[in-house]
Amino acid sequence: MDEGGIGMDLALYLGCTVPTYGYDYELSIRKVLPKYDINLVDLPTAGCCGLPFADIDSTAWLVMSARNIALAEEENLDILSLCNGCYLSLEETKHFLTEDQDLKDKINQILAEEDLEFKGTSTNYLVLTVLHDIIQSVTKPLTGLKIATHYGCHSIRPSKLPGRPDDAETPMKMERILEALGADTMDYPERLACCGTKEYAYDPEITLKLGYSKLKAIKEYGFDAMATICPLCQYVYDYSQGSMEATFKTKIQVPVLYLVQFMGLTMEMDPEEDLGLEFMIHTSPIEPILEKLQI
Amino acid sequence: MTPTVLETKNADPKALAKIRTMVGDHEPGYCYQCIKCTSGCPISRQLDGFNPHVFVAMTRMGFIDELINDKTIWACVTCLTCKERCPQDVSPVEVIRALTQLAFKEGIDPPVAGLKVQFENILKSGYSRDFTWVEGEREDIDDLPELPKPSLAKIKAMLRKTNLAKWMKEE
Repeated sequence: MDEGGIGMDLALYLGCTVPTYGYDYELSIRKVLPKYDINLVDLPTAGCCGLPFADIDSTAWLVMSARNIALAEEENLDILSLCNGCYLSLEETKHFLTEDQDLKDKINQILAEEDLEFKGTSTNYLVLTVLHDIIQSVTKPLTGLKIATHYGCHSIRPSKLPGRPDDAETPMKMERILEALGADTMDYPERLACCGTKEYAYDPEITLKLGYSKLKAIKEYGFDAMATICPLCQYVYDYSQGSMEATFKTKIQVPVLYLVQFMGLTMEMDPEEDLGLEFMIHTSPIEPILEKLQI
Repeated sequence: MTPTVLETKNADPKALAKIRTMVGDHEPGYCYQCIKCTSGCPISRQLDGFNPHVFVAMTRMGFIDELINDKTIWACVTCLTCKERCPQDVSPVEVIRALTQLAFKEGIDPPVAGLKVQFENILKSGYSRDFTWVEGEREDIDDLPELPKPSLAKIKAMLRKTNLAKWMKEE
């Protein structure tokens, strides 16, 4: 980040999955980032990033995506995306429209319905980049916790797009953050495996199989928990853990938390009031972690 | 897709030309069948007949009609591993996306649950997901502000200018 993340205003872009299945994530972000002097600004008319339509119509996808960028640019703000899917959707839109004047004109003609204009002047940050660049001292380290990282595909691929948050085949920012928080991390063969969330639409059993194979591996390797940064991945590993247990007739019980929630724990924030770990949308166990950290 | 005999006389160069206009620089003709895409594909391991290198091979030979009528093309999970690893920058995920877009354009209903529901949710709220089931808990959390509310009339007007217009009722 240009200014080290301090004293910045950022437009908080939620998308659709954060407010429905990840408002514990939203709450944690709203609690943690202001402590680092980041002022989060809500865009009163933001909406879907359009990604669901990418498979059927590029124009619909790009219009829905570009209108959110245009809303932030109207306020002269850079954007903070909490979801990998939204993040890449906005990044690709910006790239395609900036590279192709005809396409940009076409999309802007449609956006004129709402008196909006995509300019391409704003920067879109993924939460991973921001957390990595702001992290400072830790009052209550995650000593003794061995945490498996899960980046999610759209945070790292494709590497050819400019300004990617991390390396496509060997990302390390999550590891560096967790180590700074006092946790142990370790590479493992399934580290970059896809969560399979989109497959829910085609065949949910495939999603459950992909999700379970990763959680099973994490258990076998002796990790205490998993850290994620994307609500679509979290939906598979946390929210769907019960369905996996029912489908594969087994106990999984792996705590899965957003990276920022681990960060909040090191800042002595309240697991329920500040980090939403007991909301109905968080279903994997948290007690083993809280016990280990004596919270 | 179950193995079938494809006869070259049935290939359709015009349909291939359509795909070419949709994939940008990702020219399917550059594929030399190294199979790195399928080797790294998480769906290929789970679903018979989902083989990105086969989709690309069929595309470059012009068997587009066979592909767009094959339900399997909709199973891509868009992990982008094939895009990352393709040494020829063919990017099978982009070829597959062009195929599903063409299928939609040609009037084939997407055989994936929920896509139309997501569209209808957007017309209702501006968001692709249904909020009703979490509203109760979310509203009780003091530190969460009210959600952004996009203008539905504007969104409808914009989507009417896209191919999704065919899913919208005449008004």
